[in-house]
Amino acid sequence: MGTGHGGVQTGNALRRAGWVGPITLVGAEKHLPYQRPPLSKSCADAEALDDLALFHPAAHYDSVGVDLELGAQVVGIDRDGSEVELHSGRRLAYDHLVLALGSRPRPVPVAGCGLAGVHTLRTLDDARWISARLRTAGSVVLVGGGFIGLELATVAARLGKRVTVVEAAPRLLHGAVTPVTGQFLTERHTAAGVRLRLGEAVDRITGVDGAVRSVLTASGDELSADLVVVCVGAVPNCELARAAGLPVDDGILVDYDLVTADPAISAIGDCARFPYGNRRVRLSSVQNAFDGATHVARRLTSGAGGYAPVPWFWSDQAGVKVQMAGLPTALHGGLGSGPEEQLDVEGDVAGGSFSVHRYVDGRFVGGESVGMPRAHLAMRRRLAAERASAVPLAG
Amino acid sequence: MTTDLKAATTMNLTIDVAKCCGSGQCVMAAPDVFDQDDDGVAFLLDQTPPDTERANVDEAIASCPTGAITVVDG
Ligand SMILES: Cc1cc2nc3c(=O)[nH]c(=O)nc-3n(C[C@H](O)[C@H](O)[C@H](O)COP(=O)(O)OP(=O)(O)OC[C@H]3O[C@@H](n4cnc5c(N)ncnc54)[C@H](O)[C@@H]3O)c2cc1C
Ligand code: SF4
Repeated sequence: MGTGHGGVQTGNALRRAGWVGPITLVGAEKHLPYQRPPLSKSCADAEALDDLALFHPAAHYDSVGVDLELGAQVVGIDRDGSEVELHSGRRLAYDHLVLALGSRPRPVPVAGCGLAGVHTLRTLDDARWISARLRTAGSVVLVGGGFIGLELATVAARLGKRVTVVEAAPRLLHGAVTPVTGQFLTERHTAAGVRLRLGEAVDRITGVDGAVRSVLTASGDELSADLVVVCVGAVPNCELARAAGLPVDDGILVDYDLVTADPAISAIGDCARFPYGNRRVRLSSVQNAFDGATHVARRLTSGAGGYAPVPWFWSDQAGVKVQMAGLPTALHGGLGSGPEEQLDVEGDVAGGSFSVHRYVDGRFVGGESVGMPRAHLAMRRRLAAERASAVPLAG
Repeated sequence: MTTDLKAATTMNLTIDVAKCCGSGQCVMAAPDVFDQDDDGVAFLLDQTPPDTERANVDEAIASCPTGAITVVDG
């Protein structure tokens, strides 16, 4: 269930692993399955975006033997009858069910979010809408200085818009990257003409005749805006699992093999919370959806055990590609709550070619790099080697 | 009727650089066939790799998260 990165890769990986039974991908969206990362990076050109984002042409699914049920919202899971119920009333039987339901934009509790010209970004339809709006907008305000907000800011600035990012935290990508990379990106965005309002909360969004006019900040500033995109994170889609009686805690809870409390149901990608070392984490990344799907496919075909991923992530913004390896900094100390991180910076930060290695208690936990793809791969190999020796795989 | 084993099908690879996200998965799977530029964008070291690379290339294609690599057997 779900035709995003996790769902599509589940079908592909199952076939590659030799699964011979029928596979059906069921998804609420009507589009052929597509990838989300280009939506925030390439939304300047709606037509190019459709091509860029598409996973596979329709013929691919026929050729590998995967049935698509598109525009099919699942409204219930009947675990006793091993069936899912669609919005249309149809029921589909399953032997094994993979929940790859993704997440949705986190709502912000400020007035004015319903005004025309205020949007969030998750789907291709959202991206097309933003793309059209970008053509005419003069001023763009991004609420939230996370990856999506900063990628959109990059696109809008390149189109010559007046762009402001309002971020409640004192620095960009707080909890996602180290201060070194955060500061580097702050300088790059500023140099590109993006105005950054850090440590500033949004009070409300004002409008005229139902259309957005400005964003009011908590400190009383008024930022005029023809387009506001609210990018303050995402919440996992777990309602179906909860209604079916499966344990949920900010993500559908799964074991080391990504199996839920019901052995006939797995959960992967943005909607799942899985054990990682001595904690449970939920990751929203292509890596996690893709590797989780590959793991479930292997498990269903050969019984191989233990999902032990090396997290990685990338973001294209401010004219550079930032590559990250390991858990986000917020999940690995460095914020005062856990052990402090030590950073080892190599290369030329100002020149945009550098790497940052993060250590906690002397142990390498990941890092970031810009303009050094080899350093990024070396970090991932090192994490894989350390995980192989350190993580207990028995759930 | 002749069977020329040496002339077994060759792989002809292409990378859609616009789709490539710089993951490096292909470089890890087939380091003699794929490499990345400083921006992370993948390029081919060998567009028509020998058959001995087939398993690695298959792994590279299967592990490419964006579906940017295609192979045509010729
Ligand atoms: C704008 C944007 C940019 C991103 N950029 C990056 C990036 O640069 N790098 C990176 O690593 N990650 C990035 N991500 C995150 C990445 O796209 C996600 O982590 C990934 O898509 C997760 O895959 P998934 O299969 O878990 O969920 P999704 O891709 O969200 O797919 C879930 C699908 O399930 C469907 N669904 C949900 N409920 C139901 C239901 N009841 N019935 C039927 N269908 C249902 C949804 O409609 C959706 O199509 C980005 C995300 C966004 C939105
Ligand atoms: S695996 Fe695919 S996305 Fe990753 S670097 Fe290679 S071609 Fe690019």
